[in-house]
Amino acid sequence: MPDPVVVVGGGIAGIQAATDLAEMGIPVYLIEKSPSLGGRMAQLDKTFPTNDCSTCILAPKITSCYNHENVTTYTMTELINVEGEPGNFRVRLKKRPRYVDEEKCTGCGDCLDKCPVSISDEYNMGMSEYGAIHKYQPQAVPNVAAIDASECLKINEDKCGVCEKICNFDAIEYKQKEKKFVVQAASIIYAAGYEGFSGDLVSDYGYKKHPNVVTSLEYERILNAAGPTDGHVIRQTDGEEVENIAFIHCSGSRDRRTDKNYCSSVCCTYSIKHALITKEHIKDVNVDLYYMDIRTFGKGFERYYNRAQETEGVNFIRSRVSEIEPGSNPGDLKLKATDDDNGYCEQEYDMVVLASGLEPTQQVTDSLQKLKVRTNKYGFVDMDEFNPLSTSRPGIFGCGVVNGPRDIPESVMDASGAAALAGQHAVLDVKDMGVEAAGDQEFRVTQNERTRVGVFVCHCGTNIAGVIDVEEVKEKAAGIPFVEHAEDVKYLCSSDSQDLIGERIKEHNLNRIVVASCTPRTHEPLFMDAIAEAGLNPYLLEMTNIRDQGSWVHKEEPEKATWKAFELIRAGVARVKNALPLERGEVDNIARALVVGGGAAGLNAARELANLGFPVSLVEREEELGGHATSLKHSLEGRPVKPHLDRLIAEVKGHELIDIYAGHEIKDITGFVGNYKLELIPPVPKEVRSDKDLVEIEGGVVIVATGGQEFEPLEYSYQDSEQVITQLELEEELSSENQSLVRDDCEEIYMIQCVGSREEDRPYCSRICCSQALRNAVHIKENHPDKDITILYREMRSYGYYEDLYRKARDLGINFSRYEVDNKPEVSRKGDELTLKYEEPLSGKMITAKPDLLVLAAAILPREDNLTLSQMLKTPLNEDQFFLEAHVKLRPVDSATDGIFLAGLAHGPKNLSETLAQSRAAAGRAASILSKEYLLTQATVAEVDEELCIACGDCERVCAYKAIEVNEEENVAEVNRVLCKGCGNCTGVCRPHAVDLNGFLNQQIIDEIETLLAKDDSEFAKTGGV
Amino acid sequence: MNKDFKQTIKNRPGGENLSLCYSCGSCTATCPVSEQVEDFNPRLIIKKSLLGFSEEVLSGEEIWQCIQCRRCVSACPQNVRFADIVRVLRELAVEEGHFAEDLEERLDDYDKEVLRYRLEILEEVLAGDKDFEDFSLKAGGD
Amino acid sequence: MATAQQEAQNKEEEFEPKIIAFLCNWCSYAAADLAGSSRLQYPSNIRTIRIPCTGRLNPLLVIKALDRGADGILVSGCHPGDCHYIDGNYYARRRFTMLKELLEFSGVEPERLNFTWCSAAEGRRFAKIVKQVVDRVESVGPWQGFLTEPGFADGMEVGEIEDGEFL
Repeated sequence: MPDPVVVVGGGIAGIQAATDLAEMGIPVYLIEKSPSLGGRMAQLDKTFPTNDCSTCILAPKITSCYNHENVTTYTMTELINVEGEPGNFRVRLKKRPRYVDEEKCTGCGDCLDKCPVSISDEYNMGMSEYGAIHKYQPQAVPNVAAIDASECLKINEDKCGVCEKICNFDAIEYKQKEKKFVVQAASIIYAAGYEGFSGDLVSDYGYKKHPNVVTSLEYERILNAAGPTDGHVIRQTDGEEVENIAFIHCSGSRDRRTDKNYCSSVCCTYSIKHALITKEHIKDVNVDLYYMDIRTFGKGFERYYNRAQETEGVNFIRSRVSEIEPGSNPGDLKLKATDDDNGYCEQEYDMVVLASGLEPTQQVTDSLQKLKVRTNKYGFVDMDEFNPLSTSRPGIFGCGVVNGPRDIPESVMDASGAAALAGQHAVLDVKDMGVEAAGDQEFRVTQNERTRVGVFVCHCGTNIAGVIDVEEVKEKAAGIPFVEHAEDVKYLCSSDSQDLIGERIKEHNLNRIVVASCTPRTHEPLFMDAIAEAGLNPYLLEMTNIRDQGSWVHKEEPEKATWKAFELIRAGVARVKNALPLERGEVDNIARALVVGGGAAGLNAARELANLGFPVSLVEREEELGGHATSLKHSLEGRPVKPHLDRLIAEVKGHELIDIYAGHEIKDITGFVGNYKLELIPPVPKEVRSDKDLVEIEGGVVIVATGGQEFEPLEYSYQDSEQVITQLELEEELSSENQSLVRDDCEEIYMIQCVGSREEDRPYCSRICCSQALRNAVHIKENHPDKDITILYREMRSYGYYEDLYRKARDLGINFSRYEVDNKPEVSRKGDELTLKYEEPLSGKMITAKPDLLVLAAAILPREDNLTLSQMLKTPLNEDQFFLEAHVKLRPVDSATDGIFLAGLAHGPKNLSETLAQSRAAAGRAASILSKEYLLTQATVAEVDEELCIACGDCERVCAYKAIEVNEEENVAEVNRVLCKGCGNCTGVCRPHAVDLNGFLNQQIIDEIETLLAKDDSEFAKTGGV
Repeated sequence: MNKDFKQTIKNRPGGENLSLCYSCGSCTATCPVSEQVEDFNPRLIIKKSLLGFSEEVLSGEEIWQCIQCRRCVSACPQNVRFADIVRVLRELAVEEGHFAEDLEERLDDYDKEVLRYRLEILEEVLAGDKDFEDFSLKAGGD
Repeated sequence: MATAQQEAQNKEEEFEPKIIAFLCNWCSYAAADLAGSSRLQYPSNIRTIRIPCTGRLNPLLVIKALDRGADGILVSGCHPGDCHYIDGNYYARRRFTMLKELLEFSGVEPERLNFTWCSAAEGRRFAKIVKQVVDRVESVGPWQGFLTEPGFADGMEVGEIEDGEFL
């Protein structure tokens, strides 16, 4: 067993890191200070740029992390200090009293309404109230109540005690004390998240003074259907629906007065999200966004911005708002701003949302101090750009917003990358870890038995029994065909009830179970375990939801609710009698990674995987390793790239676990997760090459790190003048000895941004050009202060700390002028003389210059052969021909195909440091597969009846996972159980009903339907029962 | 265009931070003069100065319209200090002979206008018609 | 004809429609659960069948339900773009649109066939949807079964409810 890792922070970053480590077979202690996992993401309504529901995508991740056998979660727990060294840390923790026994509390919620105290609801940003005993959020994980000691009458004054009286589980413990304890850890991942800027950071905006000025996090809750206003955008002052709303970008960010000169990176895009969702909520609402530069630099964000601007009618006003004053009507707000054309302007609104930036919480700052981790001037973890995710203290790694402002996918990338690094200290014993127990347990053979169904009906205290006549339901259930035993239980989820189910299975030789209680979404795993414990195949279970979708929603109609419960149980019996015992299959997994691409991304991914103990085959088409990074002079922080790259190449070349196939091209790729084959063409001249020379390599995963390429501009005289070069060419120039272009008589240098990016036919931002131009300009200016440098830009996208670089450039006297996309600068050439003309939009002046050097920020393009590679890998590209991730938010390094991971420019534009971080993430994700001796398939996968299949191929066409294919030789569709996710789309489309979905068989659903519509037991669908 | 203009301003006390401006417009948005005088736009004055339109900036009337209330200084997120820059521009205008003969007279009228306006506000405040907080002129600078 | 109408009217007073709802596990079923934990009340006429994804819904199942006397059908999946299985809900929408046209052609009133989406955070929306679907089905009365000879069903008008949330 490897040594454990401590993960501090139970938000999305911590959850991802913990899950990746756990999947590698490493035990994890997950520490969360609040009573529930989920973090900030759980508070968000939707996520950009897809407007996905945040809870929908997050909740399954939280649950699977919390339930993971290798994860031990400590909620309400904080770090005291850390002693020791990598491989042997002693982490001192303190768990605050919850005053509720986490083991005993079932989350039934009986106590919640009864608490006489009302306190501010932290989850809803204080905009609503809950009791002193409450669940931190409706979908809390663990689903357990907590008592706020400072407000509880019993704890403070020894009065009340009503929750204790009401609790049927004896779970209330007013006498709980703070607990201090120590855990051993090989390494630590710090993922404690952030705080939104306080609304009053910019005092001129009158937050708190004007109740209708809210922060963006508050607005997330306002938009949320489960939030304080049930998703209605109404004003706090008068409850009126908003007709006119403004969003103020950079509310505290990019502001020296707040000591936060950095750009918070996410506010532009989330404000666009807010604008779009507001438009969805309210017809005809006017939405104005006040901004300085729109920084939609992430993957797919520019399209999102275009959509908001062009088709959704969101107004973008380029101005910082100086202050907010009361408007002419009560509650209204007057904003003072500057119009591009007319100067001073003011406008009134019903509500104003401050796009508050991200900063480390005070607790983060304190904890980092306790951890003896160095922070930067803004209080974030100080990070070496060549060694991202590592902190100044060996063995401690940062992920998420503690590393600096970043969005969810970047935090998730950080997390997987941090897991790859932290895992290296945990001393993985490859092949002795993470092997899931499949088929370990022998289940009773029930196929030849008579159908004997056991029905268990839960009271859930009064939650069900208060409305539904559980006794009557049980009596009736006993009379349903095939039912051998029916029983009602006070709380089925309690551990003694689990034992009881086991006893009854043995006692009555039951071979099918129906549990009528709460929702299978949370409780199915529990009851599956319970019946598996009793030797019954866990898939012979059916849950009927008579609480969440029964007693709770039909309180006023107890008779109907009772009848409905009975009908659901009867249909459940009809369904479960057709259930088949299912098993998860095992597939061999080759513990070797195939890395395609020998640039910075590929090299780094290979190194981290090898350091984790996995053999790697690295394929590079060129003879030399290093890729794109070889032409970079300096990093964006201004440090030389070459020494770091040379060291990385040397490490990879010298690593005994890494085989390098330089000069090899890929001929073909076959296989699937656990079992990929690459056929390589070696560097043998074509004339003498034969098929025998082809090299075949095998591995369980593929990492795609094939890089990108620079756009070759056709505009701005690039093609016909040597004085016009790209930023990358400038870097090469700056790295070379003679620097002929930046010679003494080169006095005036112009740079043009967005050349080939953010255009109609290439509507994405190349992300790095602004900071790269700034870096190069600063470098030249620092060495040659006499040179006059001007940067012509559309939006200056110096996100994160690059804003400091932008400030430095201005401070050095570098000129900045904007241009409009429909009025681009014009460049002409006469002999050696370049003429540049552009219109400065603020002054409206036409400006003419004679630059001696013109540097173009050429777009980053996808490689031309991405399409061929994607077809060989059977994994899709996005609209811009970069490799598409499985999920833009939560699976940013996974491709849509299992076992294929993405890193670097192949996935989209990003700078060197981000590439290194993402390649670490790819390594972490890959390791979570490589560490398994066998891969387990899902049990509820599609299955083809060969007799019925007509090989039409409809199933193949609709399958998003390429998991079902027509075998042309046999003329029948075949399911790849490894790839199948069990969505049933093939089953839905199959005309001859040849494909069926295990666990959701056609016959099961048909019997369920028929029985639901049966007037009495005589119409009970009897198919399949014996 | 006078390319050295930017540096000339930066070399004088008060003008040092000129090039830190990123044209956000906070100065104009907070300026009580801009609120009244349509053409008075500090953001534009800074931009023109950066671009090197010295003649236009120095000979124009705008630089004399500033009442030195310093709200722009406290509103600026980059500490550009427009009020101080205006003083430098005025110095340069005088030095370079851009001060027109009738300007003094016109400025005098202008000042009286401004004074009258300020008295009006003061009277309203004292009469309790307006909340004083709304007019609190923040002390500028940091 | 008149008597049939009267009969239908009499029935309507005690008419308790039976509605079969196919809900996808990841969004709409979760929304139904949230409606429960938020204690939102809705009519008990609905009988939910949980499926992994609306893409799983073979048209056969809808026809089966109608054939066995369901008065109405509700299919609810994830919002477009939110599908847990990438694009299953899009396929479902196409399939349902075709099926609905076919069924309308066969004499099934459009009010009986409802397709919508609901995210895991939209408990309130789910409760509202159930009420609307029950109203819609009640407006066309009990389902008389598929027509055995050519003709038009009563009240067969193509209509959309409120904000056009249903296909």
